[in-house]
Amino acid sequence: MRRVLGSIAAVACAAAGGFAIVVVDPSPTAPGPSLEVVLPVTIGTAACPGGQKVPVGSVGGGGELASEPTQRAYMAFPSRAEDLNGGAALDSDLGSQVEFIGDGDIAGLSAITCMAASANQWLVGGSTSLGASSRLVLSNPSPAPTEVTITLYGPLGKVEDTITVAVAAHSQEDRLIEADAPQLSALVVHVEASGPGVVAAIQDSRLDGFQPAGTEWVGPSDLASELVIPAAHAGVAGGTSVVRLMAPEGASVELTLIGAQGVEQWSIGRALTLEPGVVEELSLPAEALAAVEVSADSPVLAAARTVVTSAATEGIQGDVKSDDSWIAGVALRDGVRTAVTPVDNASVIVYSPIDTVITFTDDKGAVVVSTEVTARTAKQLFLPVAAGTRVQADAQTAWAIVVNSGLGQLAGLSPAIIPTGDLRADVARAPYPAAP
Amino acid sequence: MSTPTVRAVLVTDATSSHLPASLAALAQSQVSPHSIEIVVVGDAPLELPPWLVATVTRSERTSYAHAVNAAVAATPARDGELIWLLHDDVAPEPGALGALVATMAKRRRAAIVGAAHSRWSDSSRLVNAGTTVSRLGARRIGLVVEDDINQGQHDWRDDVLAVSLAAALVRRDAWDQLGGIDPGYQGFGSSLEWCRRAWASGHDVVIEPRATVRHAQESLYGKGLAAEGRLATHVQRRVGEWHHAFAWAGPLTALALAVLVPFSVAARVLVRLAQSSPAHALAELAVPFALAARIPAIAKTARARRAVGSAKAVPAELFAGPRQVIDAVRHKEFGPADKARAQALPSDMERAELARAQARHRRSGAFAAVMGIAASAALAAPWIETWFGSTMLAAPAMGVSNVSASALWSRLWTGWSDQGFGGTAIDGNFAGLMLILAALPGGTERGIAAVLSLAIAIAVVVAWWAAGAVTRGPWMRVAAGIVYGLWPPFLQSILDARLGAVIVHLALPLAALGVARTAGLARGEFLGSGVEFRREAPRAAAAPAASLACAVIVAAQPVLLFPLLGGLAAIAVAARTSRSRVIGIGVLPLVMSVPTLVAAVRAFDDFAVAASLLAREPGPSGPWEGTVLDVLVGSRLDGDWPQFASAFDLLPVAVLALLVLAALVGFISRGGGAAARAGVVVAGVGALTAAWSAWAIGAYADPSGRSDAHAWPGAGLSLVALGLLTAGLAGHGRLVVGEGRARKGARVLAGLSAWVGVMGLGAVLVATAWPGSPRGEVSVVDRRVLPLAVALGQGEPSYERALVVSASGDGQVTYDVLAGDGATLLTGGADLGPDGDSLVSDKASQEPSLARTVGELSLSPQSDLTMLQAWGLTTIVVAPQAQGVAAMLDQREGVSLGSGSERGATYRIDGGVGARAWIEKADTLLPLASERTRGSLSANDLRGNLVIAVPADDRWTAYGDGVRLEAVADPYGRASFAVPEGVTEVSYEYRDRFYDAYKWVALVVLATTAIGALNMRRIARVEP
Repeated sequence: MRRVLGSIAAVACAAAGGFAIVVVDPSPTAPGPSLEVVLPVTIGTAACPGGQKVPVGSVGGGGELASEPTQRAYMAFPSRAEDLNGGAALDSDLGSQVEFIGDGDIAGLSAITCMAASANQWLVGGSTSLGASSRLVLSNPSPAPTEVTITLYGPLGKVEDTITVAVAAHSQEDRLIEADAPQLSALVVHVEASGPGVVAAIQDSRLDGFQPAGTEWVGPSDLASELVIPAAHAGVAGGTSVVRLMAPEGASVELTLIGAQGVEQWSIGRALTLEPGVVEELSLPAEALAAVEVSADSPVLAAARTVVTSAATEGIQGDVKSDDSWIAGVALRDGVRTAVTPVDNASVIVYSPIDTVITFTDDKGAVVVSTEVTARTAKQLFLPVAAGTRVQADAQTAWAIVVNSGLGQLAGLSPAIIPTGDLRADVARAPYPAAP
Repeated sequence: MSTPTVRAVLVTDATSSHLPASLAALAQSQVSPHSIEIVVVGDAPLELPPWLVATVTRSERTSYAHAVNAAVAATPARDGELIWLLHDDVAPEPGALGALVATMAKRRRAAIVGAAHSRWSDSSRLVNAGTTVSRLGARRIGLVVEDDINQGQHDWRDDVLAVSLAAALVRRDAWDQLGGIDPGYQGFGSSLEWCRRAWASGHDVVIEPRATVRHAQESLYGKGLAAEGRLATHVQRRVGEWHHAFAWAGPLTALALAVLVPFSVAARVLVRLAQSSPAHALAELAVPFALAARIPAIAKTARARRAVGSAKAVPAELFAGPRQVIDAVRHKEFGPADKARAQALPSDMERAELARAQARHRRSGAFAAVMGIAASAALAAPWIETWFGSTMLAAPAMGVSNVSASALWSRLWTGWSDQGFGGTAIDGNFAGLMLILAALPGGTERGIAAVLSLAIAIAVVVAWWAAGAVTRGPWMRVAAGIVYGLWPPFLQSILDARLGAVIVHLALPLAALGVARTAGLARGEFLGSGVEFRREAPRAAAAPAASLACAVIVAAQPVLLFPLLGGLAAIAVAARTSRSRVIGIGVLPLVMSVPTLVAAVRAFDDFAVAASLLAREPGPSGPWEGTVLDVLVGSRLDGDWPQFASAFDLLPVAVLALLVLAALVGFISRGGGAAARAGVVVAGVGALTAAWSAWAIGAYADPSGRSDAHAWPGAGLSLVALGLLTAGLAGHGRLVVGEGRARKGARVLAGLSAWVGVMGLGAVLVATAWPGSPRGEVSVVDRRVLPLAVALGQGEPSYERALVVSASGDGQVTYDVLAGDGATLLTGGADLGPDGDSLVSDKASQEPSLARTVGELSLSPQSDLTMLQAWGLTTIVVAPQAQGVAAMLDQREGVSLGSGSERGATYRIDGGVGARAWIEKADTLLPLASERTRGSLSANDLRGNLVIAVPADDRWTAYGDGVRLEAVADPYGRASFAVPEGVTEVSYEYRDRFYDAYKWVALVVLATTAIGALNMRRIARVEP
């Protein structure tokens, strides 16, 4: 009897246990009650890199073919609020600067959008090969110092040694990249800053013998799998363009040339394979206004340089000088892109992936110009506003301002997306260190 | 000279069963006494045999001493009178009186001639042939080893310090001179006292070994007492020894003896506990109290001795020297055990067979150990560096593993959890377990690394060992050990550093083995004839060992308390012997769980909370996904084995099915028996426990963001493994012997099945350990987590905490408040309910949430940091992955960058006080020198508010110049006290009176159990 009772109890117990573990289904534990903290966006202080410098200092004593320019005009919008060792801190979260230099080694037109500091920026542009100089300018308009780590990428890939630069509060530092990494015909610079961040720009200046071969500021590019370079060719007669690409982790890239009439024939027959960190350049088979769509299977950087040549005003007859512009690749996204026009009646090259009406408004919301854009076309229009006007348009389109003197001087600047609305942080308590 | 007159005096209560035999022996004496007086104490009727001529008187006295004294005194002394003192349980041999009289005639100075006493039931075995004492007199030593066979080896003895008065021949004149028997001894020590007085009065005391008497020693064995046996008179005997020592000591010696008594008692208690004899230990504890009550009697004895002039020196050679004392102790305490062991020795043939079996088991054990170590090495290879290098193991469930011994001790001893801002915890038993690891060379981190790295090997070996109690098949034991060691839920527990479940898995086989041995259920070795060689007798020391294992299990996973207690109760009912010991196994786990049970009762309004509380995980605990079945079949291990065919995913399922099948076979087979049924019950209870854990919330979300976590079902599933293996092995237990095709076939089939299971789980292990396979949540991190500057501030005297801000991979800002170098989840947090309130204390305020402050801090350089300062946080560590937060702090005023390293940037908030406690005065903050649960400060006029940066709780108390300070309401919910004007010294401390009482009780029970588990040879029960 005892054995029978024991057996019955055992079977009942085992059955109950088996039933329990089948039936009990612990509800998934939701993530901890994290708290979303919302604060209004604080207005950052934008900084401009300031006037350009002759990279290697004054060569020659002046006169013809002297290095140092004698004719230059510099304007920043809005006007500078504070001097940063040559740069300018603005009383705004966005601005622009434009500079005309009439002679010397760095003759040409240059422009850039002045932005607020950021902790992470990719600059696609510049070169350190013979005759070329890339001056990295780091501006810190904040009241706290920052430490900047610079990583260089060239045609052979990532340069192992990084450069560390400390930038004091309310200050600016510059560095000639050719001193650290000479003979990089194509350059991409990754700038990572601690603390308040930094505003980074590259002065890309080139010489062809004694003749200036272009000078321009290079601003930050987006890192994304889908990019558009709206003014891959600035639409300057006789101008030539190259597209520069780099994928930090490597990528397979498809490029599409977009002209004024739509997609144009440009095929290399296969997807372009980018090795990790290797900077590639491709000539653009375009002689007129063009945009480039970049589609990759992993994040990629892109920018385009348009070069325009003209007869030299100094030197031997028959010499030519040239000038250039850098337009960064941008990712289409929600929000608006904003720029401050550097000149009156500025020329804008626009692109849209779909048929749409692009409307430019000023900072008061008034429509500056509105135009229909056919899907996947590049179109030029003019902003009928004075220099220093803040204009904005939908960030689902890509656009860039091109400044063309018509005298062989060219510059371009890309708009920026300014954070608006609220800042949000999802906060939770978690053991430290966290899981690997 | 006159002829001696022998007067026999026999005192009896007329109830002794030995009396007739005593009287018969008296009648058969070759030399008859001249008179026989029988003194009857009490009202019992006495029937004398018709052939005995004796005078019978009744005495009003109640004790033997009084009755004898009165009887002797009632008759005037005759010249040369000798008194033969007889008991009603003493039967003299026919020649005894003649030998005594002859010796008395030879030894003219002898006041007494004693007889040699033998066992009542065996006259060849001696129990007394003279007695001596140590110089101090506190230990009485027999001159013969008890039960020594009388071969005449003691016949040479004559002068001894003392003889037993029972059956001794005493000169009447000496009797009158020395004042008779001292009744103050209450029957134990009066012989020694009388004899020593004789020596001190110029007489001799002589033993006559050839005069033998059988002695039933009814007094010694407590005849008539509620509990018979020597234990019943233990206290009286020990007190008698001390009585004698004090009575004969000078003032200084008495003082020394008074000091010696507690030490002697403590030592004896420890020895008794180590001998697994708690009853003796209790008796020893009673000795000082009984001795205190004896003080008047001792004083009376001393006065009586002086009154009769017993002041001469007793010859020193009559006392026992140190060697003799040691020898006597050795014989008394260990002699019976040696004897029992010798009696249990098997025959030569059996010994040869057993030796061969032992050799097989040794080989199989070595093989199991090698397999276990190989499996451990395969799984834990990436962790080996933590044994030697500057790294350690960390996991989300466990936090960092380099928790200091002092932190663990504080947690264990105070009941205060120092995690975050701290809180009252139910108990610190898990921290106590970790303290054992902290005591190992290399500290807690290496201890944990060793436990996790070697967990499989340890599990294999202990399971192999325990399997021996169920089956004696050496290779089946190996298979069982490996299956238990590679149990998929166990592997998951290891890989997630769920230490509680790991510890339980390792301790369960030991507990099961201990219970089996306590109840005498462990299977004996099978000899070639198929006969089970002496199933192991119940082992006294196994009970405390099992109790310790159960305590470890309950400390690691409280959810197993009720299954364990239920199991013990069931086994106690089923066991035929050692029931009390089996039940006693549950005492320590139960005592250790008292705070848990109290908290559960308090929370019983909400059954879910109470049930969750009982299933809480006091140590590492963290969320997990899936169902209990998923964990059972190891689906959290597989699924991510892309290197292997999908068939691998089914391996754990197949092994589980095989195990269930084996258990079923064991259950239905005849050989399985009770063990198989018990195994099935254990498996069922384990499954229920696992389901209970999975349903319960092991750790509730706290108000600051930590999520709810269902308790990990690993412990219950370990019980499932134990039960299934027990049932399966029980079925195999009888298969190991026997002939016949069917039995051989069954053996082969069982062996094949077992090793298929082993190979299946081996394949699971290989796939899990394969490079690229997911390895759970344990990671190897640098042994130092926070910047060095932070660690300096976290120690004395400020014991400040640090706020650590980090960022998760999905952009979430995370934070933690750390009192140590990383999250020390090992110590266990405060026990909070679903609404964040303490489950232990009604008056505790909730821990503050810093989420908003941290969020604002991460978004804006202008955020308000008052909350941090209010809680004594002036150090902010920004992890390397939270550069955005660092950017904000860099830009803000009032915060300065202290240092930066690869471990993060350290910022200091200006103007705050980085301390655990401080006094807020009108214009300044004065930090107190603090530890985790206490602090103090001395200064001129400390008037202000004493603030302790912990959630307010009435367990925090503060004092100003020794006067308790009044608690005041605090806007932040901190513990705050008003310090009046003029106070110059302030102190505070955390004191949980319930926990204090609990810990001492638990400590005593734990120490008692641990000493009992030492397995010292116990005193065998000696029967008269």
